[in-house]
Amino acid sequence: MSKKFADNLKQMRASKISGINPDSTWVARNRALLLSQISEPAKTAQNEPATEKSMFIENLSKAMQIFVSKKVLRFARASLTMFLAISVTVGGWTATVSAANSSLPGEALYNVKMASEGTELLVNKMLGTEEDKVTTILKHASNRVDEFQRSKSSEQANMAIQSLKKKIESTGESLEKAGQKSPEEAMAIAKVIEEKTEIILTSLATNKTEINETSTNVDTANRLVESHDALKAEVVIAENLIQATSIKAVEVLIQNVEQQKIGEEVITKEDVKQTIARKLDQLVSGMSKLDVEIGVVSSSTIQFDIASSTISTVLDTAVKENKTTEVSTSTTQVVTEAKTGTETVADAKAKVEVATQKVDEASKKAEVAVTEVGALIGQNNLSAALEKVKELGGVKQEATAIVLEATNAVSNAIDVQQKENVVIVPVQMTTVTTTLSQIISSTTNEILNSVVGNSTSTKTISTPSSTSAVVDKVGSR
Amino acid sequence: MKPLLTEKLLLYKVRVKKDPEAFAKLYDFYVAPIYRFVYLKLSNKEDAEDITSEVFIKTWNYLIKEEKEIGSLRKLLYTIARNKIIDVYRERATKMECPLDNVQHELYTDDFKKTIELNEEKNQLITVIKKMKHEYQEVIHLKYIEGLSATEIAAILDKNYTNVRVIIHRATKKLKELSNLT
Repeated sequence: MSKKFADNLKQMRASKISGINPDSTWVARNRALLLSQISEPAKTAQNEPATEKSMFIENLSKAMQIFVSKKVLRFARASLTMFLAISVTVGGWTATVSAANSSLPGEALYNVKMASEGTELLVNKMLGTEEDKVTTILKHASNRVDEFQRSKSSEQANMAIQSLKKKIESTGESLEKAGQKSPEEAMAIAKVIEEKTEIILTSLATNKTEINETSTNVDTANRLVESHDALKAEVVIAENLIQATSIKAVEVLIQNVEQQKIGEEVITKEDVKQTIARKLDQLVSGMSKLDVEIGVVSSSTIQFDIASSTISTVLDTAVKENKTTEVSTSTTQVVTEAKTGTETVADAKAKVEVATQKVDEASKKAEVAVTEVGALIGQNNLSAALEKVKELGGVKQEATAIVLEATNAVSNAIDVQQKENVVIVPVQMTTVTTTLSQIISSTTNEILNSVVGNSTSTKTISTPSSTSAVVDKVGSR
Repeated sequence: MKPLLTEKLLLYKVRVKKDPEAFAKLYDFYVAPIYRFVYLKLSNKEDAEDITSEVFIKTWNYLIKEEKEIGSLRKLLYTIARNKIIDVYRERATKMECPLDNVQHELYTDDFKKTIELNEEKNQLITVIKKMKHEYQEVIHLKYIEGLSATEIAAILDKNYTNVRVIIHRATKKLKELSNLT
């Protein structure tokens, strides 16, 4: 811009000419008005007692925001984290780190544990090979499984599972990248992944944690049930992911062996065959577990029939001894709730049936697959053998999802029924007690009237004391 | 230019101690630039005075009530001022029944030129500036009239530094073109 323009524009600011600059009288008047408007609210705000002990911290935080720029704060935070991480590794804070090793997600020392893992990974990235990096990631994945098994709440368990999934995903990505770079690196990574994922899968499958969260509050309890169901689903997803990554690793091994991209000193064909066989065994054993699981779930549906039968017997008896067709309001409520419970139970039973069928089909397919894979391995057709294993993996995943759905439906039905029983038992007891008392009382009056009517003498007829005995008898069914 | 540290101290007093006197000192420093900014947009003295007052009241309320971080007081003031100006334009567009973009141009009357009492050259310059689009007007105003740096302008307009440099360059070029035409 020419100097003339710039000077002209600049001069406008300095100009004392009215218009573009504010009138000084107005400025002063406005200042006084502003002060009068803001002084009262300021006094009120200042006089408010500090309700929080952290007032000092709040003021300090505000001061930091004003005096220190965002960039500096961010940099300081990052530097501090890095400093802590390095101190933990280099400075030998063994007590802190070893204490942190057993911490669970959400606990105070968990961040130290994460920082220590982060540093370990960083060091491996910088100084080690890709194989070292993947080995470290899988070691951390094992830590997540350990945390999952020791979790004390569903939130902790869920956090552990989510982190585990991320670790497994990143190893999958590393395998893909290595595949594009060099067969040797890909092979090394694939071997590590195949070995470690097998161990992780086994650990995850055994001793699955049982979260013993409870609550007397109905809403919280319902949320806990939902969160446990959601957690089960997440575990299944994690298992499927680990299985898929493991299979991918075996694929890489097979590709490189078949195309003879690497020598026998790295891995032999026999080793690969044994790996495929191990994968198949894992799947078959998984199917057996599903079979057992659906058997257990199926047997729990029997209690529905027992419960339903008990309820209808009690109700029938109440109505019979009642000698009346009148249905009290409380009994109607009981019947309505019993109907809702019945629908839930029916739904659960249907799902269990479907799941049982599915598991049966899957088991049969597994038997066939074992024979076919064996034959293909014998023919040295390793790719085809792995394809069969993958197919079976897909079948197992489907069956697992259906079994999970059935399990959730059954546990839901059990919950509904338990609530129902709690309602039914006192209501029916009240109904029985009330109506029986009425019957006995009216019967006694009839007898008394007839006796008094037929005789001049009064006799006291003792009221049968069997009311409570009858109630007890009915209630005990 | 008022030392930044003094401004930050005053800001701290306002936010933490809700000190009206500290705010009044900040007012003393920023009233003229905000008034100029508003006046050149609205071309009316009374409106400019009203809007400027409202800007400071709103700023005070924001500083004592909001817990959000305040990066820069200047940015906050100009942002509130710009929003207020847009509200006025909308109101006037409805009254004048003309599109929003034309409002500013319609308001630049002979009376406005007289009250400025600037010499012919400066008058022409203002006429030319007001013919440019809002974004260009703002950067020209902030850069050449207020003397702010590209970094400071970027913070006020909530754009990145490079973007602002480009806009300044284009606005300057446009200003030259339009000036040569008149």
